[in-house]
Amino acid sequence: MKPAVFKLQKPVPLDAQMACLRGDGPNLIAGGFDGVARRYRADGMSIVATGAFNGLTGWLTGIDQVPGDFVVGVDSHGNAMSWKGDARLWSRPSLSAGWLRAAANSPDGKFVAIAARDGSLRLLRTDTGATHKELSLGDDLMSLAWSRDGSRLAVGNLHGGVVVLSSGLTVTGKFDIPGFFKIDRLQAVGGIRRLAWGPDDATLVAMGAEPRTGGFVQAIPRVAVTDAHGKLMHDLKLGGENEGFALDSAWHPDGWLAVVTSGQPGTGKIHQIDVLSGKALASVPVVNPHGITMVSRQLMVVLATNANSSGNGKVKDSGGTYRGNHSVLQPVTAV
Amino acid sequence: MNCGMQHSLSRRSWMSCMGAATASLARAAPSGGVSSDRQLLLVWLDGGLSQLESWDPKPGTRFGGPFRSIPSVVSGIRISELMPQTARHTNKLALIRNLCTQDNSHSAGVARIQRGDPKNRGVDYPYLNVASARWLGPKAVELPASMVIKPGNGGFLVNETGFLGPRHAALALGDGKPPALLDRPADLAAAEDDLRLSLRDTLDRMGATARGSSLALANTETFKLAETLRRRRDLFDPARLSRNDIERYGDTDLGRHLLQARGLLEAGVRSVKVISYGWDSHGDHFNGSMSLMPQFDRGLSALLDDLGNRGMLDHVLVVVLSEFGRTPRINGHLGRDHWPEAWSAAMAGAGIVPGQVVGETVADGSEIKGNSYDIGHLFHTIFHALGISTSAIHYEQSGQPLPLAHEGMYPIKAMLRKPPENAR
Repeated sequence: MKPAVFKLQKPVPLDAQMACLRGDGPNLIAGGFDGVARRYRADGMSIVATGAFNGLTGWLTGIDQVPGDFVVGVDSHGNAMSWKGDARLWSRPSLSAGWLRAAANSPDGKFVAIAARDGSLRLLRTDTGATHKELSLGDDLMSLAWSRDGSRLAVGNLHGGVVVLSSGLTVTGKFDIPGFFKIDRLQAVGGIRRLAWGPDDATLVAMGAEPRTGGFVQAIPRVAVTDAHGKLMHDLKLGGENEGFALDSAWHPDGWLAVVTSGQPGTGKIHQIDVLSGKALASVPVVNPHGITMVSRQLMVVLATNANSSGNGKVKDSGGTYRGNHSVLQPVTAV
Repeated sequence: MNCGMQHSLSRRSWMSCMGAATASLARAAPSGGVSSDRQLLLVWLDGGLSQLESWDPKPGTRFGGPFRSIPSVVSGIRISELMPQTARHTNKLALIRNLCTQDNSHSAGVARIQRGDPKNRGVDYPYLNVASARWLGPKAVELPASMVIKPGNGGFLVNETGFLGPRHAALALGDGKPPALLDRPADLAAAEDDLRLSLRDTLDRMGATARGSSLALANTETFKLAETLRRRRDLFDPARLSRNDIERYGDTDLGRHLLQARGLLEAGVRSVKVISYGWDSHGDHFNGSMSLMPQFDRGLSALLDDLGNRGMLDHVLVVVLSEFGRTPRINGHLGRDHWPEAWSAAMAGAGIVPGQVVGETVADGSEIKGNSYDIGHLFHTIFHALGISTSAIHYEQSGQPLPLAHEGMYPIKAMLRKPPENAR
């Protein structure tokens, strides 16, 4: 496997701040802080808006789509919703009392798994939204990943724990990966922010950080590769303690994992990871990336917050207006 | 920073305004303090509590963050969903949502807010807890007038005393524990210890007389205090805290310290400050808030429960304060930065009209709607709630009268049960 050469293309500014990004080839969907799911199409280096779904009220922090134009989104207010084509398919308001952290469609498209901060894990039917199964795993559940064959679901939590379940939500394994969590003063810091199954469907990739402090939240981005039983195979630290968390990932067709890391405002990178050998092969700086999706062998798109996003007090623009930040979609080529 | 108000009024003009009345008041100002049964509990959330995740939520707006607001026991008052326990107590609270202060750095803000110093007045004022204790004096004769409970090291917090000097320093209990080396060494007989103390006392008095040293006086006070504290070990004894109480307040630093503060107030400490560190959430603020806020919510609600049930809110004033709030703008590390422009504080208890919100911010929280208040207004209000008239009393500093609270500001009328004439 050769190191990739990344090249950042012209970013596309969005009109709001986004929490997450998923893609099905060139069809992208981003979940907004305003509860809106915005659709885009990556056409070469240009990215154009193709529509939006409304209806959710909180931060849209978990989103997924499958071929067939089915999209599901979950928000921080505990609501879940799906859309097919241009229409809403179903809605599950107040599915949970609190934050729904992540949603992931099963590879066969029949179910969507939803992880909640209150520790509940649900399997909903994608066609109706009806609850197929529900159980409590008893922790703040932050990430979800289906194996490629759909036989297993992995769930990562705030305290660095991973639960592996069958497709019917029977728990088949539980383990902790030490070092993904810390209490600093009063603050709980860390968590497995992203999970992915390896190319062989036998290894798990847990992403997050080795936390150092609360407050500013200093943390070293971390990618841990384990087998399905939790045996640590590789442990990668992807930078210094200002560089934050490994937050999202996408598989490249050539079998390497693109991981975005983001920490103190202005920091951030895309890393090329060979999961099976446990090597970080290449990286490129990108400001404040939070999400990534692979469009093609040559093109990926990163969701990021605009540069110069931080500052104490009422920072105004040249026109004297106090503006919020916004997200950008950053096309990146990799050869 | 301009919050739309004119704060500036020179000391010269203040003196001129006060005129002859000032001269008579200066004579009348008690050197030992005022007569009041009131006590202060200052809950200091160091680093900056986010108003948007606490007292002034703005869900569904561009800066509102991921959390909802919830109704509270007082119709029309909504607070963050991260404070469900406190929502049961808004009938005891007065929330002030239109604070606009001057400093957006910790280095300036921590001291200036606690000194009630909206601008540099040329002298270091004492912190609120120290100033309150100075004017109210000790309530229980044997206990210090001012105590602090904080994580980390304890000791005397001399830097808080400003021009009052080290004798007025609050005693800080690091991690709630008694001061180090409090006990007489085991190999020192009591009689021998008494002799040594007597000698030290004599030398201190001689030093104070000869050199007018405030440090010598402070030294004497310290040894007296140590003697008292040895007798009041119950104030630090974790074994005396009931398991049920710890559960109610939360088995965390903040929970335990608020519980201990209740005990100090009951024992008669005039001014208690609980310091909690770790609120400077520049990064991963929203995940952080989900661990920080429940600890604050639980401890504060248990405290308000207890103070209310024991009738202590009649004479204890609770103030929840930080050096500033946090920016509406959410940065690239999903954090909120420092924000003195439009933030909130909460008060409960003695002298305060509860069950209300004073002031308002615009829909997205990015500025104050209408009138704003600076820290000087809050100090006037707090002192009056404690029974300390900021118009009738002043400090004497090297022969110069200095106002208790900023002379260009005034008590907030809506906050006070018995507002003075100059309240607005």
